[in-house]
Parts: sequence; structure tokens; C-alpha cells
Amino acid sequence: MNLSTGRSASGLTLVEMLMTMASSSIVLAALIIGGVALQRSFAAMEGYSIAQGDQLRVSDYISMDVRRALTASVDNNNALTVIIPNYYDANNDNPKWSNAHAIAPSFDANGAIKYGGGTTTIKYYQLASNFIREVNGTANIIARNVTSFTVSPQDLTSSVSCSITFAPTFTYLPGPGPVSGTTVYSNTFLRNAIARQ
Amino acid sequence: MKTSSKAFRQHGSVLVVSLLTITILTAICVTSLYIASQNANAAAQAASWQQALSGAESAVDQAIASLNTGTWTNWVTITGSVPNLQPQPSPSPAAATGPPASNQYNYISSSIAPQSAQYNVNNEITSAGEGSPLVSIWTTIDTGGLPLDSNGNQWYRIRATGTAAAVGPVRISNQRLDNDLRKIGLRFDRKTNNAVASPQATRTIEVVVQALAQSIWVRGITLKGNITMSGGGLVDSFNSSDPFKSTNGFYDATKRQSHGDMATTTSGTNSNLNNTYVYGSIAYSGSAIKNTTNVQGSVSTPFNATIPAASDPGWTSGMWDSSVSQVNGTATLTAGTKAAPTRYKLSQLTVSGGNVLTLANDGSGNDSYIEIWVTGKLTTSGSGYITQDPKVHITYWVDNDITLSGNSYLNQAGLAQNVVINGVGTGHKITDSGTAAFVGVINAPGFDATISGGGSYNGALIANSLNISGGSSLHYDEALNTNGTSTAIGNYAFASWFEDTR
Repeated sequence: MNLSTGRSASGLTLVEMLMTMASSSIVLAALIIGGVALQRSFAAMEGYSIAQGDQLRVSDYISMDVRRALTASVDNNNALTVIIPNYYDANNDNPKWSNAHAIAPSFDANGAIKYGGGTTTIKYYQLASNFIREVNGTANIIARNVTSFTVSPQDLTSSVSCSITFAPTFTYLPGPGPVSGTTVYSNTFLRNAIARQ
Repeated sequence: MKTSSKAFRQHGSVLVVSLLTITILTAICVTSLYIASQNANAAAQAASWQQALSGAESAVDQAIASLNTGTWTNWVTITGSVPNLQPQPSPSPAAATGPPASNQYNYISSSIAPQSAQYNVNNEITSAGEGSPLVSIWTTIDTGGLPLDSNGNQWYRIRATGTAAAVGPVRISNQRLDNDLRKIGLRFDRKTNNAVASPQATRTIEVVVQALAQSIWVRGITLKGNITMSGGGLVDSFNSSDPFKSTNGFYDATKRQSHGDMATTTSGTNSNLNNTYVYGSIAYSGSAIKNTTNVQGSVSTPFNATIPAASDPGWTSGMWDSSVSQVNGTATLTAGTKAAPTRYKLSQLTVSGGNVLTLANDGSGNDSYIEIWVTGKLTTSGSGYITQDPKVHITYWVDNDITLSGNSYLNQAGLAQNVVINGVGTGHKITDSGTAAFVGVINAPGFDATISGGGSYNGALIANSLNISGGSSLHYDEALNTNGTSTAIGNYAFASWFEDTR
């Protein structure tokens, strides 16, 4: 009885093992595929979110500075330079509520509005794959993964049009071919400069 | 027993593997959800930052609307300087009735008054719900310590702050570089240090608005009496400052505009357009104007307006160049600066056949100015004409008839605003019968005007009555309505724009 049971049990175990191995392989393969897909999806979402955040931030920075600029210009290296008045009594390059106080407006010799003396210079340019906002010579990275930055040729006394291209952060595509980068276009009206004309 | 023991170990292994797999998958899912939540949080904070600016801009629009319309519903006036933080008015603040004086400021908070709707301000900015976070605003208007401008008008400083709730948990953005830009208040307001109920974005704009001079040239023809037209001419408009509505600043029939409006306060029984084409609207009081079939705009009544008389300049002896007492032939008068224009008081100004009066600039290349007071008549006739250099601006006061015939008047700049003729007194005549175009404006409410001879009149006219005949036309320059010469306030417009990024 024991031998019979042993033979029977051994045979079932082999079959069970084979079945188990097969089914386990299928389950594990499904899990691995599912896990990879999940990770890929996560990576895509993360890449999309980072890219969108970078694009919004760059666009918002440029818009904010161009709106309040007195002048805007672009040099041969495609660096955008905007000049804004010094609105504060101190720390105009990085004003905070605690260390900078707004100056009251006054008329200049031409009857236009002025605030404090001097101006603050803000430059935007690409440095390697970083996008830089430089305030009075102090550079800060405001976005990464940038492949190009272009200021469109135009009349810079009224508006500034820029395009910034970002390299793709998530490069998987189901089909063949390279993944394209994202190009962001912005066109901002020089409100402060126009108001003074 | 051995068999049973082996089976137990096999079952245990499957359980461990299953638990491990589930744990790994759960960790991946939790991480993904957490990162997704962070991304949503960053997006919500970025959106709130934009909505805060929209709120502040709407508040500025509301303030300008109140200045322009003189309607101060829901505004209060507070004595003192504008505080850095949101004002805290007394329980019963004084309702604002007008712009603030130099030691006051006007203040409004949180609501958009209905009158702002005409300026396309969104009345529903204060709303809440899914995808529509609460946006609140507060605004102050004060003089900012600014003195009166050269026209004697006050400019105002408008400070507007918009605050938008950042939907989501109290959590810093995973977009680390965003934090320097957006400065979201998570637990405390960065300006007041007061605790906030929920995360919020706050943006402040400071705008200085200037008083724009009101123009008296709001339409092509303004009369006190009859209007008669005949002879195939027309009335229309162009805009010398718009290349789509003029060519090099000059009238171009192919770019014709339909704002050649005319109005009369007392139309008589002889007012008759004889079906002449008018590319604009007509308003009148008094007798109905006859034969208006070809008026392309509306014909309405009544037209009530006060047309102030033109008056001579208040010059006293020594304020003009007395070396020239009259012009009767070829002559050259040189302009001065805007602050010190060249002034002449002439008994007559006559440029007859073969003669030329040159109004020359001062050689600086800048705009230059001449003022001429003619106590007698101003006359050009035959081949005689007046030529005015492009940079010269001239203002005449003429106390008797104005006759521009023959080659008449060459305004080289082609801008009507550069030639202003004031006809002073009543019972005199304006005659524009030249074959060339006259480009300028005539303000002579007591004069009876005639435009004939086939030439055109480009600019605007204020007179007692007007007769257009002989194929002559009047082309109203719409740019006159935005280049006011009056000291009265028309509207307020931006003089500077600044976002306080502290």
C-alpha cells in the first residue's frame, strides 16, 4: 500500500510540478509584463508631468518678466534680455516681502512714470541642456532637458515671441521612429513698455 | 509522512511567492498613485497661480471702469496712505463718490460690480467648486503721491491683488523649480504671516493710469445750423495712424471707413443732403434733414450738445514776435519748440497768386511749433499757397473770414492734427474752394463754411453751417479722436504696468 501510494503520489507530483511550472511561468510572465507596462506607464506619466511643468514654468517666467519690462532685446546667441525698472528700495534682483519695499511712482523729465533709480537686467538663455534665468548676473536654472531656444525676429518694442524645444523625457513608442521633442511657443505683449510709449 | 511534509512545503512556497508578488505590485501602485497625486497637486498650484493673476487683472479693469464712468458702487473711501497689506476699513466706511483725493484711497474687495460688465469683466470670478477654486480680489486706488500732469490732470495708482485657492493637500510641489516662481502659501500667507485655511496663490499688480485728453474731434462734422450737400461729393473717414485705413497716413478711397459722422444741434428747414453719399451716421435736432437716402449709417434725432465758442489766445504784449505784423506775399516763418513756440500776431495773412508762405521747422529735426493770431482775414488765392514743413505744428486764431482757395494749403506731414485753425467770433465765413486737398481741422462754431471747387477736406470741421458742393468731399481722420487737444479728461489708460513679485 505504501509503495502503491508512493508511486501514485510521485506521478502526480511530477505532473503537478509540470503543470505548476507551466502555470507559474504564465502567471509570472503576465506579472512581469504587467509590471513592466505599469512602470512604463508610470514613467510616461512622470515624464509628461515633468515636461509640462518645465514648459509652464518657462513660459510663465518669460511672460511675467516681459509684461513688466521697459525694453526687450535679443543678441546673436539668442539670449533674450529684458530690462525692468527697480521697483523696490533694495534687493531688486530677488525681492522678498521682508527685505524689499515698493517705491512710490513719480514723473521723469519726459513726463513718464518712473520708480527708483536704475534698472534690473534679466536674461534668458540656453546653457547646454539647461534653461537659465539670469538676474543681474546671478544665474538660476529654471528648466532642464532643453534642446533649443529661439526668439523670433520681430519688432521687440511691442511683443516678444519665443519658442523653446524640450528633449523627450520618455522615449518609448510602440511603433518605429524617434520620439520628437516638445516645442513651446509664447507671445507676450510688453504692457509696461507699450504703456509708456 | 514524508509525502505529506513535501506537499505542505510546496503550498507554503506558493503563498510566499504570491504575497511577495502582491507586495511588489502594491508598492508600485501606491508609488504611482502618490506620484500622480503629486503631479496633480503641482498642476493645481500652477493653475491657481494663473487664476490669481486673472483676478488681479479683473480688479484693475474694474478700477479703470470706475474712473472712466464715475460709478463707484461698492467702493469705499478711506483717509490715509495705502497700506502694504489688505486694508481693514472701519465697520461703517464712507462710500466712495469719486476718485480719491491726495490723502485718501478708494478700496473695494471681493466682488465685481455690475457696471464693469461693459468692459468685459467676468462677473462670476468669485466662484467655487470642482475645477473652479475660489478667487478673491481686493483693490486700492490712490494718487500715489503723483502731482498733476502738464494738463492739470491727476494720474492714479491702482494696486490689485488676486488670491486663488490651490486645490489639493497642503503639500509643496514636486516641481521643485516651481516654488521660487509661484510662492504658494501652504500654511501661512507670505505677506501677513497669518495662517491660511487652505493653500493659496497670491499675485499683485500695480498699474499707474494716466488721464487722456478728451478730443473735440469725435466726428467729422459738428454744426450749430444747416447742412447742405450736392454735386456728387461724399463724406467718409480714414485713419491716418492706421496703415490698414490709410496709405502713408493719407486718405485712400480703397481703404474707406464708415465713421464720417456728422451732427447738428439746430437743423433748419434748408438742411438737405440731396442724396449725397455719407459713409457714417447723422444726428440732428430741429427740422428733419432732407434726402438722406444714401446715408450709410443711421439718421437719428435729437442731438443735444454744447459747442463752446473758440476764443483768442490770452497773449499780452511781449508774448509774440512783433517784427512781423502782417503777411501779404512771400514770407517764411520759423517754428520754435513746444515749450517756446514762435508766436505772431498779424493784422492779416494773405498769400495771393505767385506767393508762398513757408512755415519752416527750427532745424533741429524735432517737432516744432508756431502759433499765429490773425486779427483780420486769412486768405490764400490763385497760385499762392501756404506750405508747412513735416515737423511743424501750427495753431491759428483767426478773427475774420478764412479763405483757402487756389492751391490753398500744403500740409506736408499730411496729418490733420498738425494744422489747427480756430475761427473766433460769429458771422464770418470759411471758404475752402481750392482744387488741392486741405488737411487740417477748423474749429469755428460761429462761421458759415463752404467746401467747393473739387478739392477735398481731410480732417474735421466745427462750424455754424456747412455747404459742400462742386464734387468736393470731406474725409474725417479718425486719428483725431485719439489725439485729443482738449484739457478735459476723456478716459484713463495705462501709463505703467508692474507685477509685484515679492
